[in-house]
Parts: sequence; structure tokens; C-alpha cells
Amino acid sequence: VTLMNDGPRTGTRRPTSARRKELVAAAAELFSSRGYYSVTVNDVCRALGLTGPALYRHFPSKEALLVAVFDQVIERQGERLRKLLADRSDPIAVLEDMVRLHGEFAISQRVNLNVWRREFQNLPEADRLRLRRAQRLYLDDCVDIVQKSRPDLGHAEARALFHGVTALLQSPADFASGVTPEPLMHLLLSMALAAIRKGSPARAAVSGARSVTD
Amino acid sequence: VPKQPNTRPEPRVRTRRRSSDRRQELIDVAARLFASRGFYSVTVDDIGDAVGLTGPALYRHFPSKEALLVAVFDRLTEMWTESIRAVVSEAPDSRSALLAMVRVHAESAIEHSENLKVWRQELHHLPEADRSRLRRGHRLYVEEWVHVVQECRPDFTDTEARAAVHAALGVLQSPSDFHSGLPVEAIKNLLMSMALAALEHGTTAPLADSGNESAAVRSSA
Repeated sequence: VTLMNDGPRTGTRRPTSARRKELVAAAAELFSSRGYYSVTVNDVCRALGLTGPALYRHFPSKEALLVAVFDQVIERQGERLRKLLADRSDPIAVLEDMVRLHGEFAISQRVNLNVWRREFQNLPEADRLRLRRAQRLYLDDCVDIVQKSRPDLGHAEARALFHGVTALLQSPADFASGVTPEPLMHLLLSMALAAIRKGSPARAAVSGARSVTD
Repeated sequence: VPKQPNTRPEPRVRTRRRSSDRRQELIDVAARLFASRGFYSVTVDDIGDAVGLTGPALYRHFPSKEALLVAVFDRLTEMWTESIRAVVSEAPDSRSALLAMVRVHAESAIEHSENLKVWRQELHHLPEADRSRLRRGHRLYVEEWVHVVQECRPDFTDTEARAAVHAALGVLQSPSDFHSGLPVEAIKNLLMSMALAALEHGTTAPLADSGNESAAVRSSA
């Protein structure tokens, strides 16, 4: 799996220095905790004891910083998934761990996910292409894992199923849930796993799913 | 059972006022055009052409394409709530009610996947008054769901049921994020069975328990 090893392209440059990494980490933290729109470039600088001009040497705009945060978030998620695949072999264990990883990502990144949804269309095309590509590679790996535990599904079906599961896990991004994080995570993971196991494009499966608790 | 939410059963109020008929017609046509060709590529003139109105005549009803979009969203939420109430009142028990709700929402979400995508992208850019009205309408709709889900899952607290409903709606609306290329029936069945399974088996208990249970279910399958 080559998630982010494609080398520099046009648009935003890859992290080249420790300072750059620090800035991205600080921005990711602030964007997540306070929201992209209410964080200023000065806030990011202040968190590191830097001045605005020092930051602009690395990132020409807040948007460029956002792109770097997205790059970093996707890259880390890809690394985690690769580690999981290297550590585990049992298809059920891999599936559960993958769903957990995907769910934790959705919850920990829910603030940034909203920004992604709102801002993605407005990003420079080169950044959009690179981010989409990285996202697709990650999702493809997840779909492969789903298919190993559901060999009865075709590839298009497994993809549609996983997109449904992703929407399920990302649902907290849409509303402020009153459920505390831990039980919410359990709820979403168990819902996601049930959906993966029972989801079927055949009509019978719909009534079947219903009859389980009848 | 209104299976095709796009076709309104009958005009309810103000049937004799031509202006409001025209308004409804415009909303329906706009919803259809936005859904089939996308909000951004449809012009006000396209909508006018489809109903035989000129631009200025259309602007008497809706000052902008955005205003039409807001009306489409208002209508969609209103339609969902009406459809859900109708199927729930006809259902013999809460299980059947849940199944019927899932079906209504799945069908509508597939039909309006383009509009739901625009909803997500544009909601933040709408005027505050529209935004809060739309959110309120959607919240009421969600409450209809929460009510039925709680009847099926008395073990859920109010907030858990609400979180589960949002998750299930997320599944059903996922075609707005992703075009699967699957036949409509296949994607509908897939999403319905996923949402139902998720609502029935979701639990706030740690995963280890459900993992064992589901492993057993899997091996017996």
C-alpha cells in the first residue's frame, strides 16, 4: 500500500522541516478543539511562540495550513491501517479493528470532517486531487477488508456498504450528541458491525433483518 | 402509503389560490431538476421553461435560485415528516413502523441524493433564518424517528436513541456522498438492511461482547 509516498506534486509542499510539522500539529489541535473558522493564523503562531510572518514563510494562508492538516490526518490514518493489517490476520479481528479505527477517526476528527465537507470544493485542484487520491487508497483498503469477511458481496456492493458504514460512523459530525464519547463509540461500532454483517442487496435480507428480533 | 414522496397525494390548503399552486409546481419542478441535473447547473430560466413561465414571472414567486432551493429543502423535510407520520399511523406495531420508515427514507434519499448533497454543501451558506427553520424542521423529523426507535428499543435512553437514529439516517443518506452504480433496488435493499440491523443490534456495551455474539452469528450463517 502506498498511501502518501507519491512524492511532492503541485500545490502544497510536503512537510520539509521540524518547524513545519510543529505548525501542522498545532493547527490540527486548534482546528479540532475550537473549529477552523474561529482559529486565526495568530492563534496557531501564539501556540508555538511564533510571529505571523514566521508562519507565512511555511504556509501562505490559513487554507494552506488546513490542507496540510488534512494531508497529515489522512497519512496517519493510512499508517494505522497498514499497521493493523501487518499485525492481524484473522478476517473478523481485522474487520473489527478496522471499524474501530475508522470510528475513532470519525469521532476524533468530527470537527475537521465538517470543515472538510464545507471547504473541500474550494481547495486548489492539485490539493483536492492529492487528498482524494489518498482518501480513495485508504477506503479501498477498508473495502478489501470488508470483502474478506463478506465474500458473498460483489466489489461494488462492498464499496456501497462501506460508504454506508462511513456515513454511520461520521453521523456525530452532524449533531451534538448528548451521549458521552465512550458509550457513543460502542454504540456506533456495534451498529457499524451489525450493518456490515447483515447488509445485503437482496430483498429477502430486509425482511430477514427484521425477523431477527420479531 | 406514499411510496413516491415526490408525488404529492393531494393539495391540502389553499387549493383555490392559483398563486400557491404555481408556487408548489415551481418547487416540485425545481426539486426534480436540481435532483437530476444538479443545483449548480440548473438556471432559473430552465425552471421557468419547464413550467412555461418567464424569468420575471418566476421571480415574483422566488427572488432567487437560492430561495427556490430553500423551498425545496423545506418541502423535502415536510414531505418526510408527513410520510413518516402516515406510515407510522398505519403500521400495526412498532417493528412494522420502523421497517416502513426505513423504506420511506431510503427511497426518498436515493431519489433526492443530489438534493441532499446540495443540502450539505449549501446549508451553511443560507441566510440564518432559513437555516434555523430548516434545522428545526429536521429536528422534528428526527423526533418522529426517535419515538418509534424507542418503542422498538426500550433499552435505549433518549439520547442513545437519537444518536442511533442519526447513524441510521446517515446510512440511508449515504448515496448523496457516493454513487455506487448499483441498481436502485439493490442499493435500497442494501441500505435498508444495514440501517435495520444497526438499529436492532446497536448497543452501548463494549465491543467485546457484541464481537463474540456476532462471531457466532457469522459462523452460523
